Amino acid sequence: MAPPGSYSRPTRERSDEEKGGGRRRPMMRRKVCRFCADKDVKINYKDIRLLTNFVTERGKITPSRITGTCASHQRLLTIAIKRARSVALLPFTTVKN
Amino acid sequence: MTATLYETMFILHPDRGGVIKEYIERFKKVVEEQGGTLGRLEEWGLRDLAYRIQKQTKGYYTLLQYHATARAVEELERTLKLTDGVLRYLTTRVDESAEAVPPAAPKDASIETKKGEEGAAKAEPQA
Repeated sequence: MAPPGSYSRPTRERSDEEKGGGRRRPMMRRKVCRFCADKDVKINYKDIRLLTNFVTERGKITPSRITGTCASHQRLLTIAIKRARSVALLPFTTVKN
Repeated sequence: MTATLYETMFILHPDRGGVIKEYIERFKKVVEEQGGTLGRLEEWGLRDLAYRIQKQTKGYYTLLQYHATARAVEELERTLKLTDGVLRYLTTRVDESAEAVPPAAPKDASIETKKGEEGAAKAEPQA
């Protein structure tokens, strides 16, 4: 098990900060909630292909601050991921499987 | 009596591959006996489990949709619990207004994926 805090944020975000220059206000591209942008995409626990985009390699749920998902969709996403886990469609963890 | 659209997903033991139909029939009967009406049935076939359940790494996934009362769900879940060879089950209430969702195709396209019987492909508004 890696120590806590070893979770690395996506590199994209870092490089954006550097590009922005200013230390106080890093120029970050405004992330939009994917589900608000595309209303056709429904959050469903059976759609593993979609859900895997929102979990880390370890199987953790990616925080919305990283994915840009809005609060209400993040809540739905969380429920869907947990359901998918309970029927072994998604892993709880990939460590020591 | 208010009937709601539910769906139950259950995973059957990989060694029971030959008698899956019998299992499904048994569960269907439970729903019907409780006054439910059956909807779509999806057989996903043998899939890899994301983690081991009862020392198994694979299982037969089946999804059954039905209109029924809460009482029927109770009874079905009781039956699932008592039946040997059921690794896991999950019942969810289906949002009927959003039921235009196509069946999620299992990504590891393993054995026999039957998407037929789309339980009366009724007024599913396309696009």
